[in-house]
Amino acid sequence: MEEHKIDEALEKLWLLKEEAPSKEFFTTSGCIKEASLLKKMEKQGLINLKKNLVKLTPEGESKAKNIVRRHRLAERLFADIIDLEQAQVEGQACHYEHLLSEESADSICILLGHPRTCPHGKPIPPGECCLKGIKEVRPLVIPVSLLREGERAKIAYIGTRDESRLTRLISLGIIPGNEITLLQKKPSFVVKIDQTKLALDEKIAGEIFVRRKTKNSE
Amino acid sequence: MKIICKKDKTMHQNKKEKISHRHPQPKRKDNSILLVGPPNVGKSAIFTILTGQYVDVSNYPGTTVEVFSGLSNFPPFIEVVDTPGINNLFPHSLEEEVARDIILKNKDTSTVILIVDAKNLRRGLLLATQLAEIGVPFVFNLNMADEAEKLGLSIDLFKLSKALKTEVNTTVATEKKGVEELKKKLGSARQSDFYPRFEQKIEEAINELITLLPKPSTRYEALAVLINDRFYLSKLASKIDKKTLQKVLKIREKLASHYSEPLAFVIESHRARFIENLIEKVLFREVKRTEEKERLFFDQLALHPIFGFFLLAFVLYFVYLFVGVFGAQIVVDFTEDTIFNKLVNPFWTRLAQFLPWKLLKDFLVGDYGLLTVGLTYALAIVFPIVLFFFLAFSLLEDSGYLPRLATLLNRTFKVIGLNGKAVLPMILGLGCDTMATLTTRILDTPKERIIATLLLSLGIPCSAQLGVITGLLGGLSFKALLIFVLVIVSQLLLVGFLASRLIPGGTSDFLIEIPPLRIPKISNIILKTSYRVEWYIKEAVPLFLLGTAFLFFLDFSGFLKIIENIARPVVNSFLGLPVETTTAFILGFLRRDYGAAGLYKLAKAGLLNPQQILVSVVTITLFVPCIANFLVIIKERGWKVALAIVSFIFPFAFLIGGVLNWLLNYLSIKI
Repeated sequence: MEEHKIDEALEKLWLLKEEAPSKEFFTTSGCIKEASLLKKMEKQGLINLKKNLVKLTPEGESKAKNIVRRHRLAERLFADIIDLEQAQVEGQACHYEHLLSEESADSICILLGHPRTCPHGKPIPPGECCLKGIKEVRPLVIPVSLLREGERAKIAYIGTRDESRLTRLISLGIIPGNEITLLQKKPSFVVKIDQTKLALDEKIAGEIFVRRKTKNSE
Repeated sequence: MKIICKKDKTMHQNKKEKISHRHPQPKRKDNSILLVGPPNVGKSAIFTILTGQYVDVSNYPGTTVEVFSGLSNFPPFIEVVDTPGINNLFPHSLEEEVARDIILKNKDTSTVILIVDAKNLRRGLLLATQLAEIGVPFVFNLNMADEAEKLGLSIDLFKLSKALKTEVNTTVATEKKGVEELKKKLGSARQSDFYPRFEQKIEEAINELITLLPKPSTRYEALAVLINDRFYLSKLASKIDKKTLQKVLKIREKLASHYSEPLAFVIESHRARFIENLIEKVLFREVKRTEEKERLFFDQLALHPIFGFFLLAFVLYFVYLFVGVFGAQIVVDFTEDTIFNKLVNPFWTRLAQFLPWKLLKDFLVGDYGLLTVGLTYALAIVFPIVLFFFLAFSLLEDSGYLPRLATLLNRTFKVIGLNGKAVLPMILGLGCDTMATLTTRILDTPKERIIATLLLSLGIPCSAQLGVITGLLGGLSFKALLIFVLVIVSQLLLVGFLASRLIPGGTSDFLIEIPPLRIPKISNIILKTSYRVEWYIKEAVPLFLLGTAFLFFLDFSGFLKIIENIARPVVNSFLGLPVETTTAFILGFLRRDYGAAGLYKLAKAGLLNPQQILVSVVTITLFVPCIANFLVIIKERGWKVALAIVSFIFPFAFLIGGVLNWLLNYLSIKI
């Protein structure tokens, strides 16, 4: 819950700053009332306190930016794609701003074609994906056959209905949760699990789905 | 390996007593020790140490289809059985089924030594859970402990032993380390209860199944039903009545309907998590990045999509130099000319002078003499070639190169309806097609086995034949050799491609393990080669003699002349060859190299011009399999397939020979 509160507070500060870009400090009474929360945020280096005035640190600002970005992207997603009613959009977006990872926010952003504003017309802070102008969503769960050579990933699930193949893969260590490395694609697919190297058909490699490492964990 | 093990022995023993109270172990008298484990973990090496008897040590997954056994060289001097490599006791291949059957049949009178790769604890523990389900006592033996240590892996053996409730041991089989301890621990091996407990629904189904399945069945057999083990189910059908079988299958169906994933997945992934839980407690990694060191230069080279083929060419060239030049030419010259033609055969001939009947004399030392021709071919020509081939093959096998070759050639083999796994029988076919036909068993589907058998008997020349052929073509020109290779390879691809379209049936998954590259041990190579050469002599020499005798009677009775007359139009006008080559073709059916050797003799006598040599060599290479190979095809594939193969190859070989002859004339290519 503490995390939530901090997120909300950062968001509020961002909004205040958005309305008055020239102002540096804001009164605490206008945004964060709990003294303990203020202290905690200061300790984490998110804000600077000056008596009853508060200011976002660069770190706090980047965190706030991301929260707002997620919120507004979620709004766009619910309004444009899922076609929710205006009233519901806000509530859902509030939830999703806490849930979305940076990766998935980027994916939504790419999917929506890097929107610049939320349905209310407020600007969506651009993410890395917008700056790079990425056009295709890089899905998080993909078959091993689509990994880059040398890339490591965690096995998410095995998408085969062939029971014999399934148990055989499991007995060779291809089990959800284990790490797998794609060593090469040509002349045949070669993967490595623990100390076991396996050569396999592209078809089978296409049935082993993995979760790519996110940027944060790399 | 760093062994984390508390030295407090009394504590250890107390624990064990407690364990044995909880799990009363039946008193039993063992009459065998079973070695069980995945392929390439040094099982065969440990077998050799425990028995002192030689065994076929192999690096290619699935080579040891045969089961090796021998008496233990320590008390109580009981049988030690080396079971085929196994990754999962719910089998996926014939070898795995063989291993499983041996364990199930002997579980009440045997102790298992579960030999696993210390670097791959997970896969070892998978087998441990299944042995626990079967209820056979076992020692958990971590081999290649030194390699695990190099990778910075350490295993808490005390905790592991506590979890498994049986003895745990470590060995370095190549240095014979830890084997004495292993022998001692055998006596206190126990049944383990290290197996996963499933959700209640599954456990209920297991209990229900145990009562229905033939006695004595354990949760292992029940699980075999649930995960749809086709090997077990196909045997079950003959063991219980239809009504019970229906009930059994119904239990599975009912249970399966509760899950969206296949039951096998539900059960096996639960097992995997169960194992993972233990691994987290007992396995420690000190160094994280170890891959770089391990990815050796050669490993990358062997698997490289372009340079891999250069390496292959280099390897083949080396094999050719070793077998084709050194073995088939230098050594054979010595054995044939110096030893047999100058010493042994004159001795036989002189000895035969004392024989009273001319017929018997001819039979033994005449033109088709059993001793002067049959034995000379077998021992002076074929034996050295085969010896050198098997030396080279064992070297490749033990180095771990063959699975890499399979990986390299997988896509090419797909064109002819096979996959990379078929590399092994094909390469072995360059040694002996008969032996190779036996190993086509490692292929998973009947269709693949038929295609491999067909291609082996069609166009893979065996080492003896290859030796004679390279001798023949080497005397011509590089162009001749190139045309020969092109014709044979293109025909293999063409026939394979057509066969893969025409023969019904499915192809199988290509999924093989690539063992680490190793420097082969000379002693192993020698042992292995001698074992194979022994097999070859036992199989080949009698057939050589039989073949020579057969030919002698054909000649003596005048049948040879009749066959020659019948074949004359084909051989003479279509292939453009002298009539005498007919004899070589008949010989070719007895043994392929025998036929080639017949051509060699004709060529030496100046009866064949270069084009005739090329045409006859192509024809005899594609020509029917030898008698021994034919018999094995009947045994492995049945009469129908064997006859179909031969009746296709016979006209096809002549057709290609004829077409080649015509093309050479038409395009006026000079050889």
